[in-house]
Amino acid sequence: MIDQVDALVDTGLDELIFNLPFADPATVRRAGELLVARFG
Amino acid sequence: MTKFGLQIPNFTFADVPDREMFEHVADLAVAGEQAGFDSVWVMDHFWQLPPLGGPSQPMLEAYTLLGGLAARTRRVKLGTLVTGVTYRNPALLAKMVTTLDIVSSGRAMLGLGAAWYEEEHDAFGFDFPSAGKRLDRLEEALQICRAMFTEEAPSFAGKHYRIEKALNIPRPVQPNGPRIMVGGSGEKRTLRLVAQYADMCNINGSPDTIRHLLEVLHGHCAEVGRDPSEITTTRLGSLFLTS
Repeated sequence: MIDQVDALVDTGLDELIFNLPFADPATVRRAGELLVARFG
Repeated sequence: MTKFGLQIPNFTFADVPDREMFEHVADLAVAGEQAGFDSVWVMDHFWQLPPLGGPSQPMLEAYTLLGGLAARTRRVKLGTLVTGVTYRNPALLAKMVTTLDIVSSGRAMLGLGAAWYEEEHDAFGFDFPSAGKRLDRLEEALQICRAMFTEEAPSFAGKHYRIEKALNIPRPVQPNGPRIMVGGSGEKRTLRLVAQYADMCNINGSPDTIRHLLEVLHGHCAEVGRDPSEITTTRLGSLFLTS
């Protein structure tokens, strides 16, 4: 996941929007915290 | 700094009865907000998309849902990714998004695109003209929505839509109205509309494709005299976490 997001961040996009189609709230929370900690 | 948005596309939840469905969706949005997502998006469809089970699966109407999510969240921006121009009269759409801006205290966004789900249109009785004509409608709708967000008594007479002194009171909370996103990666027409009318765009593809589309967008901006840095660029994708 990290490599794929890294490559998208490098394109210069301002915002990356993700869906987690079958995730529960705890998984959504974990995904957000991971993304913000690594890239935000 | 890259921002992150959360799209909630699926309403099929195991062991969640319909009467509790909204609470579960609200829990997803609140979890996203608390985790640091900057925006929450829903699709604007009346049938679930085939990859997520198709018409037999639940789908909530987007703007009714966003009003509920506005009341449960405090910080995230809220919008559709994106509304098909064929679904609603554009003046009504501008009124709905203005109301969302009021309910959310200034967090509404308007996502708009040329629509694509023909079977859904057939089922619900919406017109589904050719792609070129849908893009013509999109261009007129963008002008009407912008005018209703920014002008006191806007009038517009197009080929497909018209408004006549369409007062929009109360005014949006955001000084220039909700930001307008155009969804779609069409190089000739869609990205041209972004350069002409939009505050945001959502494009899709691999990193190389994204770079190419951004170059195309910058070219359109140069031709119409628009500073591309004014346009927020986004991409939608799926994320699957493993433990």
